[in-house]
Amino acid sequence: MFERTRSLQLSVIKQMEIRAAKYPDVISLAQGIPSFDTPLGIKRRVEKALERGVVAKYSLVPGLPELRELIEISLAQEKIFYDWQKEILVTAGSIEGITATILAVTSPGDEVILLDPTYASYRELILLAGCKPVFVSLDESKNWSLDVKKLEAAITPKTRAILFCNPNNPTGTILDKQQLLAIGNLAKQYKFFLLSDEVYKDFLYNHDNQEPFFSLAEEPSLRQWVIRFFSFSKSYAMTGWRIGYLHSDEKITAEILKVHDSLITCAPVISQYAAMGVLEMGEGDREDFRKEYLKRRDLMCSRLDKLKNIFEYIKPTSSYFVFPRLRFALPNSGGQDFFGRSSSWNFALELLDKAGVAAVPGLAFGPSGEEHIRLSFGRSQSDIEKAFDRMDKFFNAI
Amino acid sequence: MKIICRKLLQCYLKLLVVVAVFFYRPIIIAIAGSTNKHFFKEQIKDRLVLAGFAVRSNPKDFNTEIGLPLAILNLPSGYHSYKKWWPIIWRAPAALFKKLPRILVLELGVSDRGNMKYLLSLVEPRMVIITDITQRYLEGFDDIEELMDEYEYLVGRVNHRNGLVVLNYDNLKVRELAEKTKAEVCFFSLNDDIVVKNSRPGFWSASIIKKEEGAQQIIIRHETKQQEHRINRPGDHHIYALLAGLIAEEKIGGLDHD
Repeated sequence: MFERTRSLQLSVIKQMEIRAAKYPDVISLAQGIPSFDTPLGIKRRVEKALERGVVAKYSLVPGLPELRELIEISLAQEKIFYDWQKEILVTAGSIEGITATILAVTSPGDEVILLDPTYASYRELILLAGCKPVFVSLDESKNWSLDVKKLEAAITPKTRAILFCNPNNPTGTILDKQQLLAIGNLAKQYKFFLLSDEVYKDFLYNHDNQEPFFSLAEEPSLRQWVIRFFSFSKSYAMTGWRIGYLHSDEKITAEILKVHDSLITCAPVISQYAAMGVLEMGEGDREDFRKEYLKRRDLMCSRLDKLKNIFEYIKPTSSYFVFPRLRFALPNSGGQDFFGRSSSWNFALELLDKAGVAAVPGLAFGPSGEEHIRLSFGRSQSDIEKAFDRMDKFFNAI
Repeated sequence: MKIICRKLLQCYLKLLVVVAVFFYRPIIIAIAGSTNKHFFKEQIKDRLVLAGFAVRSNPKDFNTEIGLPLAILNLPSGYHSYKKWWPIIWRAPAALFKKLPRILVLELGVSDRGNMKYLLSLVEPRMVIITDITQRYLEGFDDIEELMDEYEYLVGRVNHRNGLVVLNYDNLKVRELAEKTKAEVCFFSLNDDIVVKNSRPGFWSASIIKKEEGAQQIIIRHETKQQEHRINRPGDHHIYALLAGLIAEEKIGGLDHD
């Protein structure tokens, strides 16, 4: 019994949220949920669809044609060219698309490479597919960049795919074009799929001195290998709608479509209409959110600067997370941690219990995440201020 | 209240559009159909611009009762914000003093009965292109026949002396619209037999030679002529759009007079 799920665990992020829910006055900087409500125009679009009575039935398996057409138009603005009729698939958030893809492109026993630290749920869904996650650590001392030689060394005949989040959750850093193309070349050489989760691509903060965001899906020669995922959840404050999409070459998409059909038949139709609202008129709202997140990032970093005896961090250039390192040795690395305990998990529990602030322990994101915690600036400025006031008080008391 | 405001805005914009169109008399190329209007519009605009014409098209999804007047007057939308609408309404009359380009390529979108009649009270298209018609887009229509009434009304309104109707031959419903107009009709198709076997005038067809890395190498045939093209986009709809663009480019000269 439960053979398949025995090795799985509930995401540490969700575990922390469940624990935090027991504390009535907790401020959660744990889960990556935007504090905003879905923009009004998008809600009106959904109301219109409800009034017309067009949301009660299944859509076509790959999604509403009019939505997929809008997605193709939107992708073309980013120099990404895919055929809405055969290559774009509307999914229930990006995670359903990633799950369907892993199930489609792998066989049990295959290996899937993860860049570590990375989004917590990837490991579980790879295990669910009967595959083995292989962690390749990013180099924190070089702005969480990838050592391509280290990646190449991790490739085996069983390697079927690499799954990465870019911009990265939890670090808020970006793999640049050079690193991405190096990964792409390895994929062509060793014949494995490139699964690129780009749900935070709309929140970039160094517009002036940062090169434009690059996606491997822009590179025509990699079409046979790239599967790209996007979700409306983060960019448009729509986490509850569960709506996103993926795109790839038509032969690959056709295989993923079979799994998608057997998993959910189609993405929720009401949410597909919401996504149409996004693509028709959501651009301004997204930019408003980005500007607000930029203020929150700067606020959170300024508060972290005041705790420099506790944390050190790399300033994020994207997403809405900071991933500070705890400035003391942990037992795993040969020393004692701040509380004489063993891990970032205990640190996060202590923070929750004593300070009333929820954060995600870094171990959730892979071995390299240990000795860190993830803090989300998706919360309002006043919540961030309150959370840091509590942390100041807590650390001062120790 | 919202409905009243919307109606008032619609009347106000309609008045401005009627004045602008009467005064500047642009050639209107209307693109209608269930899908792919955007790609046709972009292709036609690009080809006509390359051919040296002054062309403007509607941005984004501006193809409905409010959107079309905004597109013609080159005004932004306030979407669902009263605050954003006020400056647009205030400044709209100034649009009358900016000359319209010689050609307007406009998407005409219909989602309810009577939509087309309203859109054609704003503009009188000289060229009408129908991309395709499918069941999936019935929205406010009870059945496909009700939807067809809108397109029949559109092609029936094209002037038989100097107008042109361009139809997708591969879609039966669209093909049948040829019988509902007295204007000249051209067809486009991905079925080469139509042109190869019959060399029929008024037919443009294409076939794919090669697909590679998202690009398509195609051969286009019209009467006895044929030429190769490369499209750096995947998908049949881009081939259809190119065919419509070529027809528009060839035929626009004959329409460019009153």
